[in-house]
Amino acid sequence: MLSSLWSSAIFYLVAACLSIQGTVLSLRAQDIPLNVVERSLKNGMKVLMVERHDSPTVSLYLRFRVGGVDDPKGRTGIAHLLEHMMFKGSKTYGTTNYASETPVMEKIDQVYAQLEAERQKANSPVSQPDPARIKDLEDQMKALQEEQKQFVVNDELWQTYQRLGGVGLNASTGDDSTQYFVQLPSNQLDVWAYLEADRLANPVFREFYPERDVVHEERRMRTDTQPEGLLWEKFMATAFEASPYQNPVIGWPSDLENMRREEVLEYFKTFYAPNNAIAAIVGDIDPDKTFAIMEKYFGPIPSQPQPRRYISQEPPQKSERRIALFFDAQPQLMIGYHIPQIGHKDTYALDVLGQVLGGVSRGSRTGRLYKSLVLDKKVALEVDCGANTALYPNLFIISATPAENASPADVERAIYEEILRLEKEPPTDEELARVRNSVDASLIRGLRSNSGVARVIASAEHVAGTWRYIFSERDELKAVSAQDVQRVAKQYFGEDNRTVGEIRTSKQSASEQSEENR
Amino acid sequence: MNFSNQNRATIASIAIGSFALLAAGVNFLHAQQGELRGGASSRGDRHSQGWDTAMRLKGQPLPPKFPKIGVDVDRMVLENGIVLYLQEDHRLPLLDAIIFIRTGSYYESAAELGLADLAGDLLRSGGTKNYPPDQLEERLDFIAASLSASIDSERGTVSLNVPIKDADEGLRILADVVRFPLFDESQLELAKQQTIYSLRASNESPGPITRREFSRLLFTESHPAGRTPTIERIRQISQQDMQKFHQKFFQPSQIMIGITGDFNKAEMLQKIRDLFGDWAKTDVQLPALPKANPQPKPGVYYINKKLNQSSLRLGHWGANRDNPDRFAIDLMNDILGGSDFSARLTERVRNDEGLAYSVGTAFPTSQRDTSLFLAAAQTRTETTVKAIQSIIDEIKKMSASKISKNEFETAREMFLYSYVFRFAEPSRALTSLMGLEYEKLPADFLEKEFKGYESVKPEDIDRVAAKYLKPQELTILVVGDFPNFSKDIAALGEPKEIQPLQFNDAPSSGPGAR
Repeated sequence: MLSSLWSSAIFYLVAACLSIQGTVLSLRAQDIPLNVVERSLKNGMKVLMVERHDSPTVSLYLRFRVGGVDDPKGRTGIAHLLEHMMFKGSKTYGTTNYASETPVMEKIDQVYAQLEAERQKANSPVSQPDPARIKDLEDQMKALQEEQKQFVVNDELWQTYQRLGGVGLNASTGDDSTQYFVQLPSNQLDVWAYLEADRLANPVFREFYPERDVVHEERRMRTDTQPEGLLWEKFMATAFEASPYQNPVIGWPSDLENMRREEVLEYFKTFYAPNNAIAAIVGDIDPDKTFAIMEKYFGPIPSQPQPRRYISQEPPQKSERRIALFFDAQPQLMIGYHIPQIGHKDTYALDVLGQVLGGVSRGSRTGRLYKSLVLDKKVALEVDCGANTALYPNLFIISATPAENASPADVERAIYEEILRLEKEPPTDEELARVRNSVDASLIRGLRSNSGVARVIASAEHVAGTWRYIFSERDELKAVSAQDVQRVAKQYFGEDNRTVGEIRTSKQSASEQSEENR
Repeated sequence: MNFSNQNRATIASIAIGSFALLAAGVNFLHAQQGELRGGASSRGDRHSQGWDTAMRLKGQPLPPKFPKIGVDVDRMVLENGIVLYLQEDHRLPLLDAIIFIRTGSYYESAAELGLADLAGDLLRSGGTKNYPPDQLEERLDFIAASLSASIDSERGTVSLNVPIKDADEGLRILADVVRFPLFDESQLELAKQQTIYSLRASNESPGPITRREFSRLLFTESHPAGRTPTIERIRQISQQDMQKFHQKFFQPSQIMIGITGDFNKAEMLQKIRDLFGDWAKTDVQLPALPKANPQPKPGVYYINKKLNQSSLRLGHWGANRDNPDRFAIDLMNDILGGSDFSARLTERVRNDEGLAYSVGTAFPTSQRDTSLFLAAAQTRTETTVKAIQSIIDEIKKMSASKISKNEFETAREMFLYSYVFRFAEPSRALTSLMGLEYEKLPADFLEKEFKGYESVKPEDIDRVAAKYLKPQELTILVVGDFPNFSKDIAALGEPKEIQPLQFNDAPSSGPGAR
């Protein structure tokens, strides 16, 4: 019966351990056979290879050092829309005739520019859009898209991967990174390198405008219609006033509506350079031969100097921030505290603090918050917390579901009592031993599958600068003392560093209805 | 609840797995002749220059491997009837144990609704004779073990993963959970509260409402798949009910244990004997599993909910694993809507029309009883009817015309080339073989299944599409902002409003459809 609640928690923890954020896990280093062969192409592309011959399969993972944080103002969602467009083919893929298709695509861009100009008159104090002209331009768009369709081979790249026997095929965009991944029978490695190098060298963003609509549907599905999704978006937008983490990766609705093909292409050219990519290849491979294949296909792609990144630093909060989302749903509570970025020495103690308060694993019932809020005081049905350690300073987040007869205020008070208790009652030896055991076991579990290894080493290589971080992090976590935990709790869990968000049960407001009826 | 999954977005939702795969009665005689056959499709037959290069580089499909008892896995039966599967795997210092119990929510009567599900929760959280709830949690977390328990429609499962150095204690806990659960009163109260919360939450976002109400429409409340407990019912469930439930189903003759990991088989057998060998054998009479009554219910139904996106679900009665056409049906479903981006529905509704992020079909064919063919999508309010029309149109086209050469090759190769992943993890071999025995399927089931897929011809797919897709029988359910698509929807038929189940303390209302 709890499936909907649990499944979202599962998703989170998997993602967290894969991306080396939050909890990460391990065993004594010498017990773990992980022989990573680390090489670089001349163009700067990093290649990490692990030879494991247990089955004739290979896990392939390509990670780019670009994500939602790099979206420019007014163009949030561009990194993610780009990820979608990377499946649309290239000059020689997904098309039967690129030369004939190109002028049609250019005409689509021109007509779209006119359409956009006409629509934007709605925002002007002095002019009005002409519905007849909009209709005419929309019809022109449709006719041109139909014309282009005669050259398009539908999702040919995806189909190719399926015919190679690919499983787990997908891509995802996060705040800090974008990744493309698939598992293949190991005799298909050449084809993978050919396909990926081709879309990196010559992508064509055909069918752009329908895909933009698809992404908007994705936004409605993940955020607009989901109480938890919407609370998350509002909460992050409140907790951060300068950092790019204030923006949703999926993009704000009006930014999606404004996005143009040329702009996404420009963004691609800036960030999708081989020197901005990490490839992790894990499974039934020979590293030397594999590297030769990488040289052959990716080697010719020129490196590009990377632009300066303009990441606004979050200033000290110096205030409490609160937000209540009115939604026809049961109450929920989130509390966030700003914490430093990955690599900062305090992140380890914060991670251990998260495990002492929130439990050592998914569904753990030994965390102090669970025991106090759920078992003793019975003010919550569920509680979870953890340090969201990322490329730039992010948040330590505590979330809870109030019990039937408790209010979010009761839950909030109970959380602060537990935080205060840490000052008088440092983590016990048993609590710390439990965390250390869990840290060891979780590292081993993370290395069970080829795809797990590929993800963790690529992620660590990106956010921590070396894949070896999976081991050094484990050692650092195990060295955290009770005093370290007390110190970071005191330092970061201040009222003036805090954002509180809740869902307040309500039927829809009049303003929301009028907006939806537009 | 956890929110941190919210800052990621993906190219594909791979949503089809989330369709409830519901079982129901054997009925393939019922199938009708399709419409007149149209011409052949040439969809996807033209390819790019790059495709030719990729196909030249492409390797051969790797030969399939079928796990065998006595080769990949050892099987033995203890004196009391417990079936044991063992498999050594020394790659990592871990142990995995999985226990199947022959039980499930489909064995319970309407009056017992909710008991099996809650009993699954309580097995995990309710403590045992030797480990009261708090101590159970302390020990599990201290040895970094993960334990889970659940009771699904036709199977109960308890599983354990533990670092090998503490495997003995992990196995002791596991045995205690299965043999001597406490169903602690205060843990039961908490689980009931959590269940009630989930029931209420299921009306707060469109996905769960759509799935639940669609099943209720087709299965009706005469079948467990169509039933949802009321809050009042959940509150009634007692510790004594749990104990009776445990007594009824948890007997050695109903138990299968599988263990894989870094151990020695002979030593492990002895440990299992020590933990389970003294469990006395008892005869168990299980009630018969329910059979679906596949009555078509064509029509357009809606639930009014103020949202900016409609949730669509269309479907009719489908097939089960006794159907000799099951392999062709499965491949047909891949072509129609079951293969993500290679499918017709994705091409039309997503790529061409930009109407949905997630669109697809499921035509389950591997389960015991007849289940539903389903199509599902989400689309903005204004395009609700357009999306439904496109989906119906593709179902009709599929049933009335031949597939293309490329469609056939893609569906076939997807299966053949990816088969190597099926048992890539040794533990998959163990659980597959256990699953066959649990489902009382023959030992050569996997080989026959593989050959079944391998021998499907294009004309088989054309034939099953005509026979098993029944556009005229589609039940169509929309959850969304009805006033803003009410005019358009008349084009599909007279819409009937459904009152979704409400989860207040008062007993829930009667039949949903008006």
